[in-house]
Amino acid sequence: MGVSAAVKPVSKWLLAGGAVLLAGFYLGCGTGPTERRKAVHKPSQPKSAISGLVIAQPRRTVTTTESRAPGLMDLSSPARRQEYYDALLDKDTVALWALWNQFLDQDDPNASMAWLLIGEALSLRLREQPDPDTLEAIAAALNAADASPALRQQLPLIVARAATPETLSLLIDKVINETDLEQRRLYQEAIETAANTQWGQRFHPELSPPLEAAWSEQWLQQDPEVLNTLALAIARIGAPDGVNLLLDTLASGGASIEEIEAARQPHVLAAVQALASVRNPDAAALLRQRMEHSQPENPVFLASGNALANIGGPAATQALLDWAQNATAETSDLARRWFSRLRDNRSIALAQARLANKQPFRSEQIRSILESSLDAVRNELRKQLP
Amino acid sequence: MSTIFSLFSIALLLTATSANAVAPLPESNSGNRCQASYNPINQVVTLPCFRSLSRANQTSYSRVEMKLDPPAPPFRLHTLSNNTTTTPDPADRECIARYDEASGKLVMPCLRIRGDKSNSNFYIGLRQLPDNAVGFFRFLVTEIKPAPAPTRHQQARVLLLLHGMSSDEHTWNDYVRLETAFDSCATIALGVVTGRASLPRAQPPAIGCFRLRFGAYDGFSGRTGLEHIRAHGPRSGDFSTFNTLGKEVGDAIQAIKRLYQTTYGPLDLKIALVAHSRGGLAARAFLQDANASEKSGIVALLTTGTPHRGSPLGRIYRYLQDNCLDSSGFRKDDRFFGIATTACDNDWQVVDFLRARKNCIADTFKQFIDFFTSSGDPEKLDVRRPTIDDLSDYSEPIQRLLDERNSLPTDIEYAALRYTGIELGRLDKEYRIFDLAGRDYCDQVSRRAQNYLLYPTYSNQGENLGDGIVPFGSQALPAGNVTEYARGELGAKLHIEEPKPLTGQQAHISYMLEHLLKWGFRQR
Repeated sequence: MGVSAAVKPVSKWLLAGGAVLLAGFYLGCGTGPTERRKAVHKPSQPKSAISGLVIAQPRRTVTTTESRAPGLMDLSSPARRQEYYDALLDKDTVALWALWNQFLDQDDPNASMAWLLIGEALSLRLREQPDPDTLEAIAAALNAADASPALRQQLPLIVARAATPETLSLLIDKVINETDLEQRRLYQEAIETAANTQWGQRFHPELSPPLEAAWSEQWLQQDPEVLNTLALAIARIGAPDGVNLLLDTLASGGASIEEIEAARQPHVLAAVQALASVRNPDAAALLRQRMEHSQPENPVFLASGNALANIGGPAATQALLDWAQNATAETSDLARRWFSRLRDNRSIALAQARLANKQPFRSEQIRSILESSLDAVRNELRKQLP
Repeated sequence: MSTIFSLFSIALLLTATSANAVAPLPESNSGNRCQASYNPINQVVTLPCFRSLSRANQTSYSRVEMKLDPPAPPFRLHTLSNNTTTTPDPADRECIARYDEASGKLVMPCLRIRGDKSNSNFYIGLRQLPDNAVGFFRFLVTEIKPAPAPTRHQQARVLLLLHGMSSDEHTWNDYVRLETAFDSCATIALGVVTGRASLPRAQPPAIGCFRLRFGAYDGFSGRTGLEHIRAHGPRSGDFSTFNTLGKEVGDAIQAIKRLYQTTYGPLDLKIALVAHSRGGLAARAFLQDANASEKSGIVALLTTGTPHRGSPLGRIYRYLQDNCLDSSGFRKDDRFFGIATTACDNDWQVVDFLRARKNCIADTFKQFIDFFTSSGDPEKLDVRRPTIDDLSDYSEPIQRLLDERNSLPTDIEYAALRYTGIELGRLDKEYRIFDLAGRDYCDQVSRRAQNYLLYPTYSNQGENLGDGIVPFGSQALPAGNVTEYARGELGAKLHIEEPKPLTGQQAHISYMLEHLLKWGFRQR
């Protein structure tokens, strides 16, 4: 983040300072920030509206000795918190970011609870209303030498929960460039959180490209922690292109596990570990295809089959069952490992149906493994009951 | 009238060994004094002339079984004498009847008057068994009120998912994805339903799903961990006490009830708590808290991998605190050019390894191949957080929860999924923190730490088998005045390894809930 980029958003916050005061009054917190905050958010002469909020001058001047949020509604009950949070969702990103800064580092528990709620709302609004300037301001705030521990700890997670390509890019930039180990871990945690966030009850493949781009740039750097984080996030998102990239990385490490073990390249190891975390059923077709085009001893075959077992559900289980039908006895150990992970009703039903089907298995041993895996699942379910 | 009578006749079966019934003969009960009545609004049958007499005394236990004729789910009553305590009916729990002798009221939740029967007369038949021992009684039922519209107090069912330490709501991603009963599973944090809460307007979902993200009070707790680490906001609940985690459960339940009532108006909301690991202790802290409101509507607690009696791995916090910190509270660092020279150096290395979980390279080909057969990337764990100390089997908070176990409500179903087969300290397939038999790779704790954590209780392998973090025995709910529905011994599943074997075990969890609550997880 260059200096100019860091400065640019500040000017916007000079304007937004007025907006937040109005928002603060609306939400029952019509008081000014701390002295330090004042320096950052000192209102200019607002004459227009930003994002629907009329900018207003503060009604009064407050001193730092005065309680910073005397008019804030009591947030001790969940009902009041919900009311407050719902009202926050009517605010735009600019106002929320300013409000969040206003409530940062306050000792009053009620104001601190407000700060947390504003952070929750800010995550959602960053997703719904992406605003490059706000993101730049956030990046600048994270870069600031005097950033408080609270900001450093919580802001990456707020950004992460937005889980958009833009917010993820910000975090990727941070994790690559951060030199402080502790802070970098917070960014790593944030990236993993973003990759796990399945808002709208689905995976978000649109998050994968920035990670893939960073992966392609970073794998030569051989920094295991960064590589692990990037690979893991790619895998958890599970976009077919991203999974394919990891499989290609794996293929580049050697044609056998022995070769990969001998070379022990960090990016290959990161890819191997991460591929076990793929859960997106949309990757099942790709994984099936990569299995079909590999030999059982090939690392790509092993990682693909393993990922299918971990995904579970109809698409992945169907692919494994199709493989099992034609698999030879030499792969019985793999079949045992993979089918031992049957854990959902639809996969169990599919496996039962496959066994009931008259179509023969190429290897009776593989068929027997599938049967015993199902028996094990059924036994476990029976064991649950008194 | 005879058809109507057959529809609404009730057979009352009294176990003759424990209770007798005194009721007017058919010829004498037609007068107003003994006339029974049924109020479909509150589903109460008033039987003024029915008396249950215990042979011993008024407080002794007695059991009455009732059933509808024609066939319908049977009712069971017990303790007819002085109060209305009921036992769950394995056939249909929601149909448990209750009888209050003082008022002569018999509540039968599953009795339904079909159609518009207002201003009609009905008979309810009562039969005391043995059938030919006492006789057959009829009560005239009058003044039937019109049944309320069924949608007025419709039922709604909700799962609330509770994660464990160093985790968040995403720990349930696998379960939520694989369980087809849910359309969505919103996150509750800070006591609010986050996001744009959306429930179908027309009627509640068959089973609603919510997941709590703990940590609302972490920043307020004032607790610091080892090396003075502290939370400046939510940190998975790892800086909260069990009590404040329990408060978060209560906050979440309030939020769910409020959302449902706002969306649908008054309704009969039933909530099942499903908890992984420490989430189960949070649920217990809530349920055992006499001052906690919002317990109404909670119908079940299902825990999976919960350390109800703590885990010896939690002792590592106290070990480090007592042995490996200097006088200023920071780690003793005696490394020589980065090489560990003391036991504490080794132990801090493990602490750092668990936090970062960077690749550690397998020593052997067999271990290396584990990377290709793993079920996921290992989770990071910061054992410097105070929740680790709370989770120790020696901890005072664990002991307090155990001491107060009889405060658990008795009208809730309890079950624990328990896993075994994995040695204590094996955190994932590729890594264990103890230097046990066989070759190890990555960092292991020192012998001194190992002794502190394992001995004497967990020195033999039989005792320390479990899910890697929680020994099998500790995963059981403590015996008290509530009992688990099941104490099955399930196969080897790692506690924290992805894909969250304990939380992603959709078949296990849903199967148990189906049997526990008769909720139709497979209906879709």
